[in-house]
Amino acid sequence: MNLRDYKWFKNPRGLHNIGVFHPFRPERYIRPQMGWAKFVVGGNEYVNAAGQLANSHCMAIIRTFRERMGALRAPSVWYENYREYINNGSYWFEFYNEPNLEGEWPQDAPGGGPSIYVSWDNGGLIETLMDNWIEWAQEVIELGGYPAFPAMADSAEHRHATVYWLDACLRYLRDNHNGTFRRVIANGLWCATHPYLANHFYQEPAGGPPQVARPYYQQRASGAGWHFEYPYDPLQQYNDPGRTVFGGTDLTPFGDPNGLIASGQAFQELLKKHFDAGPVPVVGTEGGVWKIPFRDDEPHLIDDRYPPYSYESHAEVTMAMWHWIVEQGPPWFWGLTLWNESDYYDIQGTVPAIDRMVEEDPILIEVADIDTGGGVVWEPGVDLAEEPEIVVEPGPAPVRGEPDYHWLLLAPGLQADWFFLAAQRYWQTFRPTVLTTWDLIGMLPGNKSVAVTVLARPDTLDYMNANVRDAFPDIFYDPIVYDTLAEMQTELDRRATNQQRFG
Amino acid sequence: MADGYDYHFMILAPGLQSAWFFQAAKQFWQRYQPIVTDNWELLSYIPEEAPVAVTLLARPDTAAFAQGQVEAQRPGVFLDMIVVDDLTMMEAILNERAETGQPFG
Repeated sequence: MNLRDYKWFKNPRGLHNIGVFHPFRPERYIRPQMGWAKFVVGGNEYVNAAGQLANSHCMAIIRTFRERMGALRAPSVWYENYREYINNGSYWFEFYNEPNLEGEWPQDAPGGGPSIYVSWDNGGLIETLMDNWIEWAQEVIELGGYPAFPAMADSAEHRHATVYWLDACLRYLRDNHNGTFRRVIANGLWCATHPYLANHFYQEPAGGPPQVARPYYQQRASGAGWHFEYPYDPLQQYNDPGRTVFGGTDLTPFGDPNGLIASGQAFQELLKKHFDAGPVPVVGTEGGVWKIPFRDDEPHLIDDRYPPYSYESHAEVTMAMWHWIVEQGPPWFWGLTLWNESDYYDIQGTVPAIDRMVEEDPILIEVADIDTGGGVVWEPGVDLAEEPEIVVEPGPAPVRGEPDYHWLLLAPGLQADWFFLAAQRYWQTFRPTVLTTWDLIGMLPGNKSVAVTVLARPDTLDYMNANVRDAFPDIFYDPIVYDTLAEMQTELDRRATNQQRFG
Repeated sequence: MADGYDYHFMILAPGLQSAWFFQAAKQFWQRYQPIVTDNWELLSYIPEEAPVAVTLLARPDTAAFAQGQVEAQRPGVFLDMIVVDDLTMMEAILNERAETGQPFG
């Protein structure tokens, strides 16, 4: 499928509705010239509204809402409702919502909270989530719609880390639904994200330099020098060089997805890594510059490296964001539905950003001629559930990027203290699997890669090189060789302090 | 290595801090040198014909979940669960097993 094949209106502006079964006021979307409307729905109550908006060049994105739905399997009646939406010109659908947060799961534990362990390293959770998701995605495609990869909440906490969740889900799909997922990629996949920007944007002073931000009260949407590419913008890179959405610096051990395009960037890179596919469209289905300050509020400052934003500057930033998406954004980022209708119209009346959108026509995106990959174009009537046979070669796989596993191997002759004293901080930080033999390396399948950190003294290094490095040339081999326990501990502690897993 | 098994894993259930291994399991590991991991997926890579034992360290709130994961990865595995709420108690149990030469309870 080509990016140009998706049906939408090329207008990045969007707004999220208030809730299910809420009275619909079309002028709230049509007057400010929205190109997207995100509807959480209870059933088919927004079908007519979606059709009305489609006639005004605004595409509805539909998510059937169930409170704390966790990894619910979609009931069949949902698909009947989807058919009605599609027949009224809405093709874009979401299913799960922020499954990386406990609040989205059934609160069924004694004393409150979910009984399930909500973490990307809970293999059973990922399995259920993705098994039910891919079944849903196929059904949506069968109906003629576009299924969204679930939006994760932007998080840099270990257990909720957005990039870890995306990686865990895509790895599972790669290993268990490879052919089916490739066909989903090729037939309408898109990725939903929830980019709440905090204050991760700025405008350079006239004449620069690019890593300097002008004060919020001097920002003008129509001017040049805006930056919404966090964490890749010059100001952030000046403060913490090398930071990416995956982290990569001491300050970001679990990634940094808190920018307009950051989570989408992570998804595209992981899609490329695991499936050699993409890019697919990304649409933010919650987010924006939120919360909106009240007229008398002090400007909102979240990250003190960046300027705050005020009631007035909120409108400048929002308009600048639409321009930036069209003129400077990546070709796969297609817009954002602002959170939410109530904030923009009800809580303090109509805010200036809406007035600005009413006054100014949107700039439209010229969609790039890019194939989404996946390779298999689906034809109606073909059973997508038929899984092509995946032949897994003996492994391990060559390491490309992050390895699937990290093992810490103690060379023969090392006493336990070499591990229990020297490696404690290192193990606390990285939690590698600890072994004293290496035959398990040869048991890995051909789609799993491993890095092996070897603790050895000089007199056993040649032996380990021959039996590990040379015997398994596809592993990432990471020997740490010292004569004394103290030297070994110094090196391992240094790596732990620097968040440097390998030498 | 524990007698009678080609592979002996010590698996830490989710949420266990490092002290549960570094403090409680030191003697046990010195004696039996199990593969220490919190990644139960590794169990599925061992050939079916190889006998595998798992010592599973867990607290009561995660024990059932971890048990289900281990058994799903390798049906029929010999699973020895040590489920306690208290680090000192865990250490005492594991040390006794090390001292008596009885790796499993």
